[in-house]
Amino acid sequence: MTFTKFALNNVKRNGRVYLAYFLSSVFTIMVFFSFAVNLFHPVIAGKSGGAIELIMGQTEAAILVFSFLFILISVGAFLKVRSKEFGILMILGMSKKQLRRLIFLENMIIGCLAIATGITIGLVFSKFLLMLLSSILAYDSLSFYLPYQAILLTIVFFVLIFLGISALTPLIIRTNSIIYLLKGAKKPNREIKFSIIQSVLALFLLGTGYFMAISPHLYDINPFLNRIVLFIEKIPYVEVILTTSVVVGTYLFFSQFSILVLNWLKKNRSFYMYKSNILWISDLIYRIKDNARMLFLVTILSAVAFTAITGVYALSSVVRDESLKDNPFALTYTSYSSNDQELEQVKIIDEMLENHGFKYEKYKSEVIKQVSKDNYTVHIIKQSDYNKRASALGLDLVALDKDQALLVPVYVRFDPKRDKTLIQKNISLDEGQINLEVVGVAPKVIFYSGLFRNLVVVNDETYNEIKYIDERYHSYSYDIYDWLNTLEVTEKLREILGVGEHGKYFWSTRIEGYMLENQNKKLFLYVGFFLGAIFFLGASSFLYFRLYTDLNQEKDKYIGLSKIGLSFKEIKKVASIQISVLFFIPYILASIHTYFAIQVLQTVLYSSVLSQFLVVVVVFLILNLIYYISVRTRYINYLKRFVVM
Amino acid sequence: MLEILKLNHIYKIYGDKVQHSALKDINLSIEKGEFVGIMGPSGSGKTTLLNVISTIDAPTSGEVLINGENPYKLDSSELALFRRRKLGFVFQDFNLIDTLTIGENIILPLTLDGQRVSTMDKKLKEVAARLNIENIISKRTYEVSGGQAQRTAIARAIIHSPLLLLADEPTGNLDSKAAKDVMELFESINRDTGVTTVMVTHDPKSASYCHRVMFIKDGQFFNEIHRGDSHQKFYHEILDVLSLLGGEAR
Repeated sequence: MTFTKFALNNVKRNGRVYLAYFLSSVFTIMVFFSFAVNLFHPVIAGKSGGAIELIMGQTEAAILVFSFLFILISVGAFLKVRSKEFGILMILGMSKKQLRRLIFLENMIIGCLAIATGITIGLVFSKFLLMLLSSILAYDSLSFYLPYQAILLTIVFFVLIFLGISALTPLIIRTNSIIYLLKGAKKPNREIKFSIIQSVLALFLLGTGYFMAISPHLYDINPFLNRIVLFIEKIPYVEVILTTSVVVGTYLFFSQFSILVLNWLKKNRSFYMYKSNILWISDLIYRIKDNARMLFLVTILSAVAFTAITGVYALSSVVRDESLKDNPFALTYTSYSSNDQELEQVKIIDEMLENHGFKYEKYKSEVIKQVSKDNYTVHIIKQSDYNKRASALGLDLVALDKDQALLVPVYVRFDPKRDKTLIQKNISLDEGQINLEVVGVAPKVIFYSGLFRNLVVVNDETYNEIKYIDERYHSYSYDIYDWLNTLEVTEKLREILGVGEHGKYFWSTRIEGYMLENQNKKLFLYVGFFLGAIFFLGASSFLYFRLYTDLNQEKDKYIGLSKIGLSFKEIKKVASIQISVLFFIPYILASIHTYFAIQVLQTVLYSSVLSQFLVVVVVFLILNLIYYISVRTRYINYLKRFVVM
Repeated sequence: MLEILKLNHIYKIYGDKVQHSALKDINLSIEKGEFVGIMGPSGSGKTTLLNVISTIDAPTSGEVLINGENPYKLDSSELALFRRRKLGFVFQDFNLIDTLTIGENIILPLTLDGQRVSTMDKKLKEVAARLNIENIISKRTYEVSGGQAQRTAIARAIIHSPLLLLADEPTGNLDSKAAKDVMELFESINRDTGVTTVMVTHDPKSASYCHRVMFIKDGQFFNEIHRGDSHQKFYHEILDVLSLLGGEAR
């Protein structure tokens, strides 16, 4: 038996122990590979530089990082189980170098098998994903292809991952003490220390992070709060600070604060000494301390999964709403004064719409652009034109005096209380010859998002007095009832009019924005669900690995307890409390994290995402419950075989 | 005579806050070909002493010399080489590798040493014949009895002709018949190959196969007795010392 043969025998004959490790490797490789097949698909890759490629690329990178962590944790659990075996080998004279080589060889054998298996299963799975993706992107069909790039990428990255993990194994197993390896994890439980300062810090960091997340929603409650909110707004990289604060807070929550709480329960003697409470509390202190890192990771992964899924779910359900708000009119054509074909082009649009049987209302407006000497651009619309649009959009009509002005937001999300173009109190035109007092802000965009920045409504008389005119636009907006069916018409118009001509005219439709948004958001949805699902699966597997590793150690304890007269019912209760704490504390904390994370999201979206949040959280609660019940049942049945009854 | 093992003033202290001396000033000299037993009650430090000799648990102070060489002064790769070539171990719970067959377990030290497959096969044949386990060498560890497993462990411990054979309660997990077989094997191997053997045991019957037995109590040297001609007589002498030690020898 040569050394290589030895490693091979280990893998070949120890299937049961290697299986969990092998399967989790296959799973991550399969996920990575399937996604890579999408990424390198000629149709998607052909749109290089596009948003789709960018999103997919970033997703793939996230999956890669996740894979590394996941395989590292799997291998850690797997090597711990074998520490006694390594102790024996070292006592027989295996050097550290040989041990590393053995683990490396084993890892490479498993790695290569896992890569081959993962890619094979992935080929089948990716066909399914491609079908899904093509329906999402509304491409006719993404044909199946031989994804040699994806295969190559997967092989290269995962060989690197397995190499990296082999290099890290000396950190996982302590090769310095043979005695420690031989006795395995059966080291006596030492006294658990915690720091009150760090426990308080945990709450403080979580609170700070949460407060920063909701701060934009706290504006205008009272002046003192406003100052804090504005201060937070000025902090550079506030999102990074917020996230770091919550992440560090979460870690301290598990490593310090939870111990503090359990110690406090312990001090409450009438509770602590009541029946089996003493068992689960004292045990949980060690369990949580030992598993702090794992619980932390599970919480963060779950929070990312929940947030991603809530986010994409919310985005996709508000897309229609948003298109309507961004484009209050189905089609808007705008002409510069130098365009001598303006009337013909409008006629083309009119006729095209009529020929296709669309009923429409047309609103024509004139907008003056004025650039002051200090380079400040203002767009001006007269009150009568504004009122025509306002009545079409169901807004209040305005009646301005000669020296009054109304401001109009250029983007939907502009906050009238805070945006600097909308908080102006006075407007001055014609280099200070016309001075107007701002009497209000229009509640909506009246052209479409992004058109006519710094738009001001003035009295018709004032409008006619304006002398400095840098440009005079004519803008025609069409209100089409049946706008969802205008894609075909739009495409035909694009053939004739193109996108526009610089300095002459340009035009935009709601349907195109809607289609684009829709596609992007469906892609988000796809990516979000994908990431969310694998992150959640990964988080659950971490828990499972941990329980699996602890099982044997726990078994001895319960056997002992049953011998001194603890009933099986009580053992069941103690075990259930412990497992449920490990399962649900991360879930609850992750849900709270998610709630605050979506508050940040809320400021970007226009509608409330609370209902989507609740749906996601409840769905995961159910998944978690099912998982908990199945793990608990298995565990209890396992114990049943050993304890004295 | 050549001195194979020499212990000079060995101390072993555990713990940081609450210190506890496991070994106090142990001195021992073992010559080539000797078969020495170490006995003592539970917690007397006999296993700690064997671990110190086994090069896996460094003494707090004092010197261990094996064949004139202090293994704790070697770096980790030299130490691995030292264990691989000069020492052989037999444990109470056999410590065989489950993924390997009996035969593969036996040749493991040679595999680690990178020896040629033909050499391995030749040596395996010899040692298996000596231990009468030729018929099980292709079996897996869970397919053999405790006595056979311990024979396998002994085969593994001697296949590379070590300088020093160390055994930690080798009969602890065996019934009396298998224990007798194993001890007779140790005796015959020691006699035929002249391998110096040190064994920790709590069983007076097993200890009676040794040339001499050292007793320790509370980490300190207590007594030492030598075997005369008769097993039976030595056995009774051992029992006498144990009762002097105060109670059961475990």
